[in-house]
Amino acid sequence: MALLEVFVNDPPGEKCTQLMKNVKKFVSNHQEHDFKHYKQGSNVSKFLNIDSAPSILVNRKILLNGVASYEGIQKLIEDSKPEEIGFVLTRSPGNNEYRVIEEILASPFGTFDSHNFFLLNDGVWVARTNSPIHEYITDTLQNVKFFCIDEYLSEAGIMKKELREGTEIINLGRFVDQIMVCDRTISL
Amino acid sequence: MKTLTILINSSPYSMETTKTAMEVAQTANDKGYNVKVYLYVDGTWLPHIKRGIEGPFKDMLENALNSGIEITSCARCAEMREAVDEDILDGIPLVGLFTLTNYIDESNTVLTFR
Repeated sequence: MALLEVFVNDPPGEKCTQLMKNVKKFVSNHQEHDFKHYKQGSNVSKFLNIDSAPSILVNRKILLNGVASYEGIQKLIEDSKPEEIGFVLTRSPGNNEYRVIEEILASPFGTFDSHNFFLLNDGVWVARTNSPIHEYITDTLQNVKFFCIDEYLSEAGIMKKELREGTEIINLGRFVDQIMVCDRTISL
Repeated sequence: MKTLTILINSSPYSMETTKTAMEVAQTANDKGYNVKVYLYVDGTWLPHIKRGIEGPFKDMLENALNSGIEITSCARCAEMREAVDEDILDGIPLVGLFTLTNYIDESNTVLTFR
């Protein structure tokens, strides 16, 4: 589902009318998407720094000034889909690699819509209750998920009850499937 | 079909990540992904007949090759470790770094194990 926000002049000119027409037609054929329209100069347009009309903003990520065609709207939705990053961690939290993680997370490179941490080998220690790096990651990022691979959890002798709340235990097959759908991956 | 490239930088017995890398490769192949493995720096010890291959890695590598996983090894890294073609397990060619760049170019996902 995408959020389509359209900004038009009041009264609407030819271009604004055309954009509204295209978006309405698109939304009537794709009812899963949410559509809102605002006047240029309204509080919403000021808040979002939209300074010209007609404009279309998709998922508050991609802005197009001008008239988007029916196919163009589809493309904007595809381009604005949430991006997911997968971190593959194989070392225990005391290692120097975690300084690199802190640097990555502090940079724009570390901010995605969804952040998945896959914990393999000694990386499973990251999800243990007393792990400070876990706290750092969850404090720094939004939409974070931790996945421990079951066999490495057993090898480390960590029990399920010792894991941070929300940690998911998965097998190697699911790890592969999940890592293949991530838009970006970083292995440390 | 999606392609996964696995870059192995660690030697067979220094870290367990080498074993993990091969397990991930095999699992991905079993699930129908196209898998390529590039052995780099100390990873080039892995298919070394005299110094790396003995033990569980021999079966792992042979299974991987038999199931269609493409495995190549960095020629320069092997040379620096005094390994020549005859020292390397059959089916694993010594290649240049261009092969790795091609793998990365063709892949949906690249995982590095160090």
